[in-house]
Amino acid sequence: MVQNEEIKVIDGDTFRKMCYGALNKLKDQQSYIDSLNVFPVPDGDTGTNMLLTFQEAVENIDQSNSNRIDNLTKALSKGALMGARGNSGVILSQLLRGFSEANKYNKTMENADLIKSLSEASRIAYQGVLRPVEGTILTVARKAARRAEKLKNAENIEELLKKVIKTAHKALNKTPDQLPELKEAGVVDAGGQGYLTILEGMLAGLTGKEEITKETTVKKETKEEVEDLKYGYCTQTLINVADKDVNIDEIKNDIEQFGDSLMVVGDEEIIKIHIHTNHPGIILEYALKTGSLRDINIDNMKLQNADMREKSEMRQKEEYEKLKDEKIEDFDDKLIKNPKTEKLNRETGIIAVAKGKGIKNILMELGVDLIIDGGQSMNPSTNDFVDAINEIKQDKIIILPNNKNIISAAQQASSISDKNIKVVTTKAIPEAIAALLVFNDNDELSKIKTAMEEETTSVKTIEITYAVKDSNVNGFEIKEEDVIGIVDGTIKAVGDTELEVVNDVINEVWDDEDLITIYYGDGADEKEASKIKKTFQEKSSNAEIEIYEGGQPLYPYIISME
Amino acid sequence: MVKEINTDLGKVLIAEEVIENIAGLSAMECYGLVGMSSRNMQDGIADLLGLDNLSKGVSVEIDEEEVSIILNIIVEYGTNIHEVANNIIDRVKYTLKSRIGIEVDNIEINVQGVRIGNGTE
Repeated sequence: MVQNEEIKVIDGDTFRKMCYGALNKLKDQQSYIDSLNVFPVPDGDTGTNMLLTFQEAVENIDQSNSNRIDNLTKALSKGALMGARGNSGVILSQLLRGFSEANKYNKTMENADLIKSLSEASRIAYQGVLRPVEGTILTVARKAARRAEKLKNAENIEELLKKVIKTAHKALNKTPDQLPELKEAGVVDAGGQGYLTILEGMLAGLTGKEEITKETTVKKETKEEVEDLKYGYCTQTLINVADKDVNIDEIKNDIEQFGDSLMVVGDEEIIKIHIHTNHPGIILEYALKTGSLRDINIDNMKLQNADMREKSEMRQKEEYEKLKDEKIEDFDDKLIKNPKTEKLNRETGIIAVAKGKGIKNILMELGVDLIIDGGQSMNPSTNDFVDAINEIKQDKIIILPNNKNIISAAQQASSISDKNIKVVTTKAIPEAIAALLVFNDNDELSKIKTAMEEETTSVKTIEITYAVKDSNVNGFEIKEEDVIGIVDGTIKAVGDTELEVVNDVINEVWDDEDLITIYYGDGADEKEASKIKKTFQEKSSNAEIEIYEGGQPLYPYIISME
Repeated sequence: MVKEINTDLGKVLIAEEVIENIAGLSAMECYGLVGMSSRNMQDGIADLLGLDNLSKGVSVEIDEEEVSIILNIIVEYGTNIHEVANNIIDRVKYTLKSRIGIEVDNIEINVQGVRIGNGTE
């Protein structure tokens, strides 16, 4: 900071300092650069390769007695050539060769020479490849060179280098847009980062102060641009495998299925695993079987990368959690407001019709704002809907009637209201539950309706109830008090006991569903429900079956299958 | 010859040409490689080939389970040829594994020529 004398000429000593600066910086960031390495082969060694290459280059300078720039750059280039390791190392050696070519007869290096060095570096580097892939170290080098060429009037070396670094940094941050592999992994190009690091290190060496902070490195801001993050957790660990016979390829094969950006490297002593996965637990558990662990690191990449919208969603969810414990006094009120969604600033409100404490609770868990008490034989009136619509604060509203006899009342209410309302024609509770899962507050109302209605077709609803009078429907002779099984509104079975009817119904409509949810209501209990569960298990051994207390009247069981 | 991959649902057959093309393409993206040389060395001339001849300079042999690839390449003068060749092997292996899911058992690199770019003047 004291050293503010302008450097306009780089002499041999200064150049050496710059090289050391770069080497130190590269050492600092070696493992970070390693972690970025996904292209061309995701083996996580770019940082190491560049460091080893550059190290050899600098060692070669050490051995040189000359203090002339031409000799020094030549030594640097030759060292890099001999020591080149990996793809990035070879490219680095070519970039340094550009430095050497540009300074062929120079005793010292001035602004113009540095500009020429950067542009030669880029030119020569590009020559070495038949089909240059953009979004790599080459791109960063080229953009840095183009910028340098426009800086002929720079005051001094420091200013020149600073501006070039800024451009290189920008170019680096754009690499994920150019190379899909990078975008997918949510990283910037490793080689490009390496080149930037070297330039920064040179500047630090030049000015003699550690002026570039880690700001460029830790900030993985490009991740924000990643649209599709399939795996949420970046999981890393070191496994101590001393005295054990461990095959790295085997580990790779075993955990490959759990994610991507997989990297397994190591030797006889230590193995490093790096993977982007949704199941960090499984990975760690697996790693534990291989050996003892250390330096475990799990990052939620989605959190890191979340854009504003996601962030606000997270916040809403947290608030939601906080409110979770608030109790509702009376579940039989005509209208129940959901205390959990009340405070969320959602654009779209949801009104649902339901009966039964358990069911209402489930619906509110899923984000229904207002529940109108009602259902089969207790149809809410149009007026009830109007009340509900006025009660809810949002102007955009989705209504889930959950019974085919209630749909028309809901539609009528929506037509006389000033608010923007769409009725999703759900005919049963399971349909509403399925529909709520696809609700997206940020969509347009009509889009939400379409998505929700589409989702309702994916569930089959079985309702088990009692006949209230003798009748003859669908070829079934039904007597009062008979148990009837209704599938999606049609009577499919009649019998004396619930279990028997359920059995018949299943035989009738089973279509290899793998998610069964049983809501038991009045006239049934958990024990009985587990018998029904057993019936399903006999049908399919791998179906997932859940039992909830629905508390609904009239229907001992409502069962959804999807 | 074709490479057979057996899956639970059936067989996938991959023609030699496909492997040749993919190997050729991925090699061409490798740093240091500036050309593919014709396989037919009777010409005696390592001609620089453009993109049209993706599989020229690449030959694939499939022997039952084993897949071996031979690449005839031209590299840029001034690069570390040994390292470039290694990089190509890595890259081709990785690409074939990730794109078509085949393990290559053996990759042979024949450096048929060195191109002296304008860089040396």
